[in-house]
Amino acid sequence: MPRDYLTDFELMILLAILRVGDEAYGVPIAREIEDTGRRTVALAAVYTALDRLEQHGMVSSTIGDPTPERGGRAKRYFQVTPAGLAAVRHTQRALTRLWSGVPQLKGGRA
Amino acid sequence: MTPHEPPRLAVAILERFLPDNEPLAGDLLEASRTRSRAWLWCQVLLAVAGRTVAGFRDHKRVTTEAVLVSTAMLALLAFHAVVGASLINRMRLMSDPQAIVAGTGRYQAWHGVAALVAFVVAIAIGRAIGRFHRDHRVAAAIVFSVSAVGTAFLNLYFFVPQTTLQPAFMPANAGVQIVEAMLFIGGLFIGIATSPAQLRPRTAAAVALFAAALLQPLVQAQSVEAQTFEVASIKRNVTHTGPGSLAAPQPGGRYIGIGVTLRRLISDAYDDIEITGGPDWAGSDRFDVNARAEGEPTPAQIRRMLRPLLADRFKLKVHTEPREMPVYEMRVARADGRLGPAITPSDSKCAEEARNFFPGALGFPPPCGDFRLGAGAFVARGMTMEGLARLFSGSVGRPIRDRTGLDGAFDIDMKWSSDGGLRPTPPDAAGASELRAEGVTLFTALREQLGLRLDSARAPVDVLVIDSAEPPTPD
Repeated sequence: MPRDYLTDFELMILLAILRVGDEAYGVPIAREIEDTGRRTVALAAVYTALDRLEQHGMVSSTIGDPTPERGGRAKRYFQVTPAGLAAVRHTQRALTRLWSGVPQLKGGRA
Repeated sequence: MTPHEPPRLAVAILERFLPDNEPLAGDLLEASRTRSRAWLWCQVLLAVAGRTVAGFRDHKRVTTEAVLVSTAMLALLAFHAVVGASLINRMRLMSDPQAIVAGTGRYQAWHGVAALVAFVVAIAIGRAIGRFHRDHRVAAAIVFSVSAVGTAFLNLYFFVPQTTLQPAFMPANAGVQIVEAMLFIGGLFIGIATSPAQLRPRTAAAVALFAAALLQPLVQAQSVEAQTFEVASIKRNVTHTGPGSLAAPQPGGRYIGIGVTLRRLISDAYDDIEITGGPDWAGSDRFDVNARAEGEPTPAQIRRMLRPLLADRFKLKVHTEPREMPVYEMRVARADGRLGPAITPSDSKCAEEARNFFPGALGFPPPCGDFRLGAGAFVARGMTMEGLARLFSGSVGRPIRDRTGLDGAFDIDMKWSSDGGLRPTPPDAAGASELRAEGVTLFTALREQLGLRLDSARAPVDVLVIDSAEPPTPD
């Protein structure tokens, strides 16, 4: 069932997919979140969130070819769907509105 | 970081627990080449845990039902296995009572056979589990193992008569019991491999090493069981007259007996069990015994060393059998469970000291674990109810069974009107009124001062039958 709100982790994953582009599978998605978000993530948690987002129609996935360095296992590539993109924009607007009303955050320093 | 191969076990776990999530397994293996092994293990464990939680969440009802039904079935199966083993054990004891006597060849041989049979049966059960619980065979084997060991413990603790547990449940034998249980569990896990090909050489070697490590305490436990005196001297005492004699373990692993009969030695060796049969001289000829063991064994261990000594020097052969005979059952007299004014629970330090007490110390009051029974008074410290029953059994002429249900140790200060030579009661006597010291019966003193009563009854008592004995060989 579609929904228009995202958890912070789901938002980060969607943004990571958008940033990585066509090569968005588990490893680069997790690495993008770790590099930009400066936090460690569990690949299993990434997949759990991706499965949930796919169930809600916010991402779609395709299976690639197996490669030797992965022990002959295939990659699963993810793309953000229009519904997922709408959810990202919706969340961005909501967060922007929230930020704009907080005097302590004015000037860019907390 | 230099790329490295991921640990095989981690890969096996991924294949086993995430068979339908190939992309995640592939991602983990790919990422692990530039990460540490600790990182991979952490990720694998998180993935397995997440998968388990998700599986339960998605199929809550089915999973719960499956877990409950499987657990119940395995517990029931384990219960039946233990009951069957217990029945076989009882039949064996009925046909060969000597087999329960620790330190004998039969006892050790029985445990060896039992361990081997348990191992083979466990492999067969493991094979069955592997076939019928293919997806959860490890969990099923764990549930079965825990159920079987738990049921066996409950069976031993609650249903096997105390006399049968001794000496089979002595601390020295705990290692043997544990090894047998571990061999059983090891057999299960070998059995659950769906085919011999899955039992790879490395796994087989690990199992063999595991079994060898377990056999170490087995060997150790058996060496304790078979522990004997380092040196022992037994000489005929032809100068001793009168009824008295001394026989007791001493500190430093010594056992001293002066003017002691063979019956008295047997009684000491076999925990004061009732004795019957044997040649006449066993109760009349007297001997001096001076034996010493290595180390600092406890009094109970020293007494147990008498068994192989008597078997060697007196060619003693015995067996136990239950016989129904008149007994007294010692119970708490008051309905509210209160004891009399002359008995109080010992403090924990005294109770601990009593367990390792070596008799022979003089002085008054007696040290913890000892007693003084003389003119006008019976004083004891750290005395258990079982010990009290055993002590007065000799005075009343019948075995006294402890039915008080009281654990722990007690300090006793019971007044006699006289040492009085408590007249032994004939075995067929009716009871209390016949047993009279000068002024106060033992029954009255026990009831009024200790809050205990002795009820006359008939009950099966384990009796040690002397099959044969010969005069001792010279030193």
